[in-house]
Amino acid sequence: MREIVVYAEQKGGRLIEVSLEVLAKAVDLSRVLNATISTILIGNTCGRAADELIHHGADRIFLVEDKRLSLYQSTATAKVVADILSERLPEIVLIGGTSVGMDMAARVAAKLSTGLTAHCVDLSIETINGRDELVQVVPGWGKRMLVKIVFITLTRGENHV
Amino acid sequence: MSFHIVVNIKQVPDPDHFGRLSVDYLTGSISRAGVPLVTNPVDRHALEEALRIKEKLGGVVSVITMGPHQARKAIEDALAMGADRGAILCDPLFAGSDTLATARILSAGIRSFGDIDLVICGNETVDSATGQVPPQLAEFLNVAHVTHVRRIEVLSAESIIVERVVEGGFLRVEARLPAVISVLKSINTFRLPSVMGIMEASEKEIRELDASVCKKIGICDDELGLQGSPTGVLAVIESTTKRNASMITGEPEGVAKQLVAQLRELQVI
Repeated sequence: MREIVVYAEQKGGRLIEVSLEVLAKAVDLSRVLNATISTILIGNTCGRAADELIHHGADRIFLVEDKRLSLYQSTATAKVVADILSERLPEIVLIGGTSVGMDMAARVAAKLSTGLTAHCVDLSIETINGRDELVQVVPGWGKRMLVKIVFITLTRGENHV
Repeated sequence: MSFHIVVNIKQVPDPDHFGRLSVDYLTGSISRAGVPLVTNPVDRHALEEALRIKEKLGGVVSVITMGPHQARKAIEDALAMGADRGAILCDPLFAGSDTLATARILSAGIRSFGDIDLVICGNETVDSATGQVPPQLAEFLNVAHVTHVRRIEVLSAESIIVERVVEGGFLRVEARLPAVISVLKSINTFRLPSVMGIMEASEKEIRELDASVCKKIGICDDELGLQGSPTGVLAVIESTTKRNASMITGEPEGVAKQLVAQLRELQVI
């Protein structure tokens, strides 16, 4: 079964709003792709945030709790996320485009040698050459242009929204 | 204590002239005709920070860029500002690189400098603004990274402590050296090149590096340029913003209802 993974960011054990927005987009995409949704939640004492993710449509949570991970640790967090992703090999990974999300996403994408698109303002599934492709719309060039991006060679990739 | 600091710079179309960019719908690419090229603005702040460290603690500042031959101008400007030496990564095989391939190529170029203590980058470029290259570069160099840096608090031979901006505040982060940091414009006010600086720049070394530096550390040709880039542009569309204004008058209750109805109609709420 196809899988979409959402990285849920927390602050002090509470989900930040963009995590739920990204999850909502994942729910939309999952209907088109007939995919399940997994979320990755990293921090310390995040039980309530995990419940909230389930209530908002997550099918599965990878909950990583450690006192040392209550604040964002770029090296450790990226490794944890990359390890989970290389085991799951999802079709799509969505990460909220926060200061932390963008920092981590880039490192994870490099670890996995996969594509990454920043600042997505829209995501949709389009059939291109008979295959379902994730089309990402991003503003570019001082927001004067909208650029549509696809992942050419790989069947999976990451985005932050 | 003597630091070897590498500063990454990029030549970009001048953001003050982005109004002249247009989409060539025949080729699907962006026409940059008449748009001058400049050093990515925040990269000058990155260089300034490196020069301040060198002045305070001693060391060498190298600058590196990837780009076509004309990107040499960005290196020359950096040398005039006070950098000690420069390198330009230039090869047809690099064309079409996305951030992943770019970071890979830059890592090869930086490794060719030998031992380094710190890499300083601008937090993002004005053209694509992804901010992805610094963390990706750190991954390929196998060192720590910190992005969104607004202040370097302490720098010692082993580690660096910085303030890293997050939404609604900042984190104080310590990273072991060597490390890659990417800085925000607010970190400093950069200097302008002096006449002496410009004169001295012509004496400084600019290395020209090609794809062989990548091969040397085991990066294959198919990991470079378009081939090595998992992301591809499907289309570019000129973004148009239309403004509409309409007045709603009457009693507050009625106005509120009409406003809500109109916003619903526009699918804003």
